[in-house]
Amino acid sequence: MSSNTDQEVNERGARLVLTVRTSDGAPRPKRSWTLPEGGWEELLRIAASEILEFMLGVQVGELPESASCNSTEMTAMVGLAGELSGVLSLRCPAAAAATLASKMLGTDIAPTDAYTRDALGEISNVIAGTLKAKVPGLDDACLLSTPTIVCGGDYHLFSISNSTSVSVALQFEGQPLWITLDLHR
Amino acid sequence: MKKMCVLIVDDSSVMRKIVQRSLRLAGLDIETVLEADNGEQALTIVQQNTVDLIFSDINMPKMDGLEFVRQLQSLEAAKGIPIVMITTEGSQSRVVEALSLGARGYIRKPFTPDQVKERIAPLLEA
Repeated sequence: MSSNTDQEVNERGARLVLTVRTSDGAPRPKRSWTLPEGGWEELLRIAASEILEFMLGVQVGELPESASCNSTEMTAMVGLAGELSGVLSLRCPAAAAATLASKMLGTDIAPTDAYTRDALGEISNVIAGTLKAKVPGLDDACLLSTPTIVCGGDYHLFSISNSTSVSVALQFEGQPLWITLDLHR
Repeated sequence: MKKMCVLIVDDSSVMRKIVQRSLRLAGLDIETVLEADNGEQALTIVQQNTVDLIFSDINMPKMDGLEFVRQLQSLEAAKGIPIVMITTEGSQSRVVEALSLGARGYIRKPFTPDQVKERIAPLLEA
C-alpha cells in the first residue's frame, strides 16, 4: 500500500496534524498526543492519588501486593472515546465507597446508597479527566462518558480483548480501592 | 448586597452539594439554591424563578451544558444571568464553545472554595 503525508489545520486552526493518506486517499490522522515518561501506570497512580487526596482530604498510599481484589462490591466505569479509547474503572468494597462519599460530602453521617453511587461515579470521572489532562495534546482529542456504576459482589470484570491494561492498588484510611485503565490498541 | 438565588446544574447530586458547600465557604450570601440534573430541567427552573447566578456542568445526559447555554440565550428570563461552566473535561474546544455561546467563565473539577470565589467575584461586581 502506498501512502503520502501532508499537514492539516484542525477546525479551530490551532494545531497542525500530521495526516497519513492511504492509496485510496482516505486520511488517517496520526495521534496528536504524547505519553509522558513513566507510562500509563505511573500516570494513573499520580492522577488517582492527587484527586483522592484533593477531593477527600486524606492521605493516599499504596496497597500491599498481598491485598486481594476479590472483595470489591462497587465498580464505577468511565468510557474514553476519541484518539484514545477505553475504560477507566474504580473498584472497592461498599464500606470504602461509603467513606469516600462521606468525605466528598464533608459529613460524618452515613450517605445514602444513591449518594454513594454518585460519589463513586463522580470521583472516577474526575480521575479520568485529570489523567487525560496530564497527557500533552490529549485533552481535546478524547472525550469522557458519563459514569456507570455496578453494585454487588458476585461479578467479574474482564479486560476488553486487544487492549492494554494497567492497574494501581491504593488505600486511604485503611480502605482499599483498585483503579484500572483498559485501552484499546 | 441582596441575597442570591443560585442554580446548580449537574447530573451528580454529590457534585451539586460540593458546589453548594464551596459557594457558602467562599462567603457568597445565598438565600436559595436550586438544583437541576440536566439542562432541560434547568431551563424550566430559570423560567419559573428569579436566578442570579448559574453553575452548570458540561457533560450531562438528556441535555448537556453546551446545549443548555445555547437555549438559555433565547430566553428573556435568562438575560444577564452569569453562567459559570464546571467541567471535568479539560477540553479547551468545549470550554471555548461554552464561552462563545454566552458562558462567562469556567471552573475545572476538582476546585477549592477560593477558586470558586476568584471566578465569581468579577461576575458579581459587573
